[in-house]
Amino acid sequence: MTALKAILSYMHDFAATTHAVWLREVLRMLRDSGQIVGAFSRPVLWVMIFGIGLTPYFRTGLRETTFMVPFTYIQFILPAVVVLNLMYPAIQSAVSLIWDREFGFSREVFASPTPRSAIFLGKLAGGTTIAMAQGLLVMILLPAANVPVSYTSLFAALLPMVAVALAFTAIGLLLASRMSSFQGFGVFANTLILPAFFLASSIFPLDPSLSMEQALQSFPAWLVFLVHANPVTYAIDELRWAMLGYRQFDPVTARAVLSAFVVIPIALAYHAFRR
Amino acid sequence: MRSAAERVQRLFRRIGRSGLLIIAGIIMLLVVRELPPESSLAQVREGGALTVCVPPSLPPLLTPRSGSDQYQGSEAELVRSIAVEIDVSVQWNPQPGWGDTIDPSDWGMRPSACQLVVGGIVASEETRTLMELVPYRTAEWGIAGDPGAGPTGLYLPFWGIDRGQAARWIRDQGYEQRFLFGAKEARDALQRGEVSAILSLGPVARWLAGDRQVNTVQGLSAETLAFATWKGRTTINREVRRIVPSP
Amino acid sequence: MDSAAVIEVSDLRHSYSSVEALRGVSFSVPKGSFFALLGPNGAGKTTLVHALCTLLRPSGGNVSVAGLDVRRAPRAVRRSLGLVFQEASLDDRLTVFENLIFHARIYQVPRRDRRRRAWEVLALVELEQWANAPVSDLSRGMKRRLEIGRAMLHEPTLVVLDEPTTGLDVQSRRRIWEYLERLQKDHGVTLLLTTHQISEAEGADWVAIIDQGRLQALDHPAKLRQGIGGKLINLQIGDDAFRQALSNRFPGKCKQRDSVIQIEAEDPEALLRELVADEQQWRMVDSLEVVDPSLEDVFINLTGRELRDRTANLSR
Repeated sequence: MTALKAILSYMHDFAATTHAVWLREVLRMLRDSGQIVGAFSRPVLWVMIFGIGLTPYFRTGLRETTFMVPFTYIQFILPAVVVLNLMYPAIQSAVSLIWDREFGFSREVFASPTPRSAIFLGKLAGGTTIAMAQGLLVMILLPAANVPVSYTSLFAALLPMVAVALAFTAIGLLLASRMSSFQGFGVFANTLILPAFFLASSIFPLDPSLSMEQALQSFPAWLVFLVHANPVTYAIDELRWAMLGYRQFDPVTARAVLSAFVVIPIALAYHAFRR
Repeated sequence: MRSAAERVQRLFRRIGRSGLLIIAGIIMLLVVRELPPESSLAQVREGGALTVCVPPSLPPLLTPRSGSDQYQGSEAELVRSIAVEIDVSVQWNPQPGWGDTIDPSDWGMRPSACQLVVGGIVASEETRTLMELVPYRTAEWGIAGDPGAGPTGLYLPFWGIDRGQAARWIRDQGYEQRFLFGAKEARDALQRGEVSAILSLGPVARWLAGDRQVNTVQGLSAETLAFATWKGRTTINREVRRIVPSP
Repeated sequence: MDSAAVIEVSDLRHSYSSVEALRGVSFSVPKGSFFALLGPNGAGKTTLVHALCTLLRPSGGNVSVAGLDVRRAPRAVRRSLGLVFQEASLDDRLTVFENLIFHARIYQVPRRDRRRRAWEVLALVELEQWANAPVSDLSRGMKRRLEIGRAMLHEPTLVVLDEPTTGLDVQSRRRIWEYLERLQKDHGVTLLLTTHQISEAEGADWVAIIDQGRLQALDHPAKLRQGIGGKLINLQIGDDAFRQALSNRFPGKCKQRDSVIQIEAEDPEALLRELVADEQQWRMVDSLEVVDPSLEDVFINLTGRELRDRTANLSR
């Protein structure tokens, strides 16, 4: 009887800690004006300015582009912008780990009787929540791209979004566990985010329905390889499938890669977190 | 008076600067998304005319009026009602290459020629990927005449229709199939008895039948007829979609 | 020493790579007492405190807090500890109240008690009006007060404070002293304080002096002061020669700093009478004071020089 009670009380404490850490992450982000401005300006910049600006250069007539991507450019990149607005806050949220270390708050947390894993889970959940909120913001612009919004498509979009949010929060936590300075983390994060984003069939489509030879006619081999090797490519593909009903990569591969992309960083980050 | 100001002030303090930023941000997104992403509708209004690409003739949907460049027919009427709503006239641009080949990009139709594309367009994977569709009605498959006595004709001048599926159905019924081209030719063939029946979509089948009977085909599911705008022309598309009731 | 000990340290040792920080320290802290740990930097104070707080695993020896072994039940030990460390550990972006609730949650304060306790500690440190203010609005002294309140939030048996008043102005320091006193007297909390400001330790029940990884002395402050014996005479004398002469007259009992010479005297009156008798000598004395030896003196005594026939009360 007492063993059961002990387990229950442990679970209760675990949940309370996870909640406390999660809430703190969310509150901190809500009070960070810089983050908020970035969260709103990014979709406007990428969708309304970049997307609209380049749309005339893509499919307008019946045979204006070589690739048969059956969407306008702005429709094509909208899921990619969602992922962009997931990646940035997810990685940035991990900077709180360095902040805590610098300004002593980590002592408050680590000297407490809480289990370490609860702290990790709370930070992971916090970063994911913040990222999801920002990702969903981009959805507000769906009508501007003439993408039909339906409850089913929004619901289907949630799963790949959560996967991306989790994966990048974990990657951020992994980085932050190993870095001690803000600048180092910032540089690393930014160096990571944009290439991962650009090389994901996000803003220029890499049509895998073409054979390697055909693809290589337009793109260099290293680029094609990197796009195929980049897990974000598959995440954006899944999201495009959910939002537009269009996909370029095989669903089985995409889902397998995405699952691994979630599980592996979380495992590595947890390991690094335990120090 | 003062207590209202105090309450507002207290509300602001509770929300905080970040709260205000979030609210402002959401409002901004909502406003920005209403910005026209392009100027197709504006061009229509400015030019005073709704330009429409159409096949030379597709009775009873689009029949050219002899001696003028106007069209009649069920789709023509709908186009006119759209133009009236936008408060512009209609400029018909018949596309002589329409339907000539399987690949629409060979028909010679360019986006610069029109803002609206109309002409028995069936909503399908092909047309959805090439154009932005605005469905306006559903149409059942119909057989005009009495099949069985002789070969059954197929008259399917519809962009996006699955001819293979229709041909398969005819063969499955045990009829002999024959593809027909040209509205007049098809009707004449039925008159002369060269074919005992013609398979087509609802309104066209009825036009072909004249006073003969038309039976709905159960084995083939109904198609959706639509108007089309070029991809990327969101403003004209939204406007047409607003005016035309969805089926 | 009393039987009810909140902390029992026995032969505690710890080394960092090649450096021996603690070389076998033993003592116990009685319940409800105010226990001060004095020592210069690098003496092993911090290591000792970290071992107590389970932030460090000692290389050897045993530590138990509230009857719990720090190695075997670290979480339970932490639950019974309240910590106030030198560097602030508050979240600037959250409000005072949010910081407290966070603490309550991670210290497993039952949900129904959290808000109530938060208000109680705010009242204790007189910060109720600041409950919804962001912590960044608070001054350093107020932040420290908040941390003390926060340390009490989960009703710990022992509050450990590591140099709590460093960097604070005199007024804040005094206020914090009031709170700590109130904590100990009204709430029966045991206080363990480390400091190198000796004046802070004057009011303690027990003072332990640590130097070079060893416990050099442990006793009531009064007894430690008495251990020096007699009183101290501070003479301000400008003339170097005279000072030197005095130093030679009382070998081993004099200390000099700038123009002040301090003489330990078992019988200060006798010494003064001697001085006053010689008018020439007397004129060279600019100022004079007779003081009781302070803990500072005890400290310098113990750590600046070798222990001679002073009985240092080692624990138990």
